[in-house]
Amino acid sequence: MDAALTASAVRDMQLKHLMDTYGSQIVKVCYTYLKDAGLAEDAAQDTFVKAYRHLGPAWNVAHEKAWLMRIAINTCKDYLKTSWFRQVNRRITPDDLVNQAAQDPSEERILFDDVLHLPLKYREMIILYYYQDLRVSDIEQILGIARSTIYARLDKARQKLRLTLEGGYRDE
Amino acid sequence: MNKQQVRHAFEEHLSALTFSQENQRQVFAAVKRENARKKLSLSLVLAIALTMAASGALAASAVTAYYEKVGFVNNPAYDKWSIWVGSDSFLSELDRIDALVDHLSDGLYEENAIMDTAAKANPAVNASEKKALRTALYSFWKVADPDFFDLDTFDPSHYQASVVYEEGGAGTWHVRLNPAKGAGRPYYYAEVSATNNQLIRIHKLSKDGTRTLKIIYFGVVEMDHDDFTAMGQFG
Repeated sequence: MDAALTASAVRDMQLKHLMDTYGSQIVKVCYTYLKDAGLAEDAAQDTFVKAYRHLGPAWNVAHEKAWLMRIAINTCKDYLKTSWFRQVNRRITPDDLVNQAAQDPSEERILFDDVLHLPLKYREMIILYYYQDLRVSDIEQILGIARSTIYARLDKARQKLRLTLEGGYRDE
Repeated sequence: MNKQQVRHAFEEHLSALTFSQENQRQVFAAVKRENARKKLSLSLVLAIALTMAASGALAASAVTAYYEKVGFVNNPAYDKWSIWVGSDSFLSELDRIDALVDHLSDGLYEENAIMDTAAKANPAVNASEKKALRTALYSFWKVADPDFFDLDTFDPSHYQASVVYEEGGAGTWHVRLNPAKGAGRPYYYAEVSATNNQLIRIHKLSKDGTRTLKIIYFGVVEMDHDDFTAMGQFG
C-alpha cells in the first residue's frame, strides 16, 4: 500500500514538474497548430493527461521537452482531423490578434502572421526549429520524418517566408 | 531571419497564452478520474472472470447484482454501447446535485439567445425547468466533462444557469451554464427533451459562448432519481 502511494505521489510530482516547466510552451505550440486559444488550452491539458500515463518511478526520458512536444503535436493533429474541427469556420487568428495586427504592422507582427499562414508541414518546421529551438535530431524524433526531409522543408519554409515578406503571394 | 527574431516575434504575440493553475487543476482532476475508471474496469474484469468460472442462474443473477452495484448495465436497445455510471455513494451525490439545482434555480433566467422562437414571457422557475436543469447537471457531471463539473470543486456561484423552451415537435429544453466573465471556464449547453426529460445533446461552446466547438455527447440519458443511464456517442 505504501509503495502504491509512493508511486502515485511520484507521478503527481513528475506531472507537476512537467506542467510547471513546459505548460506554457505547450499551449503556445498547440496554438500554432489550432489557431484557437481555447482549443490550445484543451489540447495542452490532453497532452499532460496522456503524458501522465507514462509517468512513474521507472519513467526516464532523455529529452523531456521533445517527448512532450511529440505528444502535443500528435494531439493537435488528432484535433485537426476531427470532422467538427473542419466544419467550424475559424479564422486564421483570433479577432483580437487580427485587430492587433491592424494596429501593429511591425516586422515581427508580419513574420508571426506569415508563419501562421504557412501550410502545416512548413509551419511546424519554423515552430520547432526556430521558435522552440529544438535540434534537428529532436525534430526527427518528434515528427518521425527523415533528416533530409526536415532540411528540405526548412529550406522551402524559408523560401516561402521570404516571398511573403517581400510582398509576394501567400501560399495556403 | 534568425532564431532570435522568430522567438521574439512569437513570444511577443503569444505572451497571453499560459498554462494556468486552473489548467493544472483540470489535468489533475482528469487523471484522478482516469485512475478511478481504471479501478472500476479492473473490478468489472474480475467480476466477469468470476462469473465465467461459476455457472447457472445463480452466477447470472450474481453478475447482474454486481453490475447493478458497480453501475454497469448493457442495454441491447442501443447497439453502440451503453454505460451506467454509478457508485456506492451515488445517492448522496444525487442529493448534492439537487442542492446545486436549488442553488442555481435562484438565479435561473430564461433567454432567447439560442433559438429563433421567443422565450417564455414568465421568468418564474417552474417544476419543468428545474427538472430540465437537473437532467442537464446530471449529464454535465457524469457524461460531458467530469473535470469541468467536479462535485468537489464546482462552485455554483461562479455560474448562471439559463433555460429556454423550444416550441415545436416534441419540444426541447435548452439549458446553459454560463460561467462568470473572465473565469476562463468553458460554456456548455445541453438539449433536454421536454416530453420525457432525456438528454439529447451536450455542446461545448467557444470561450465567448457564441458557437458550438463540438458536440461532446450525442445520445440519450435517461434519468430517475435513483437511476442514471447514458447511451450514445461521445464526440
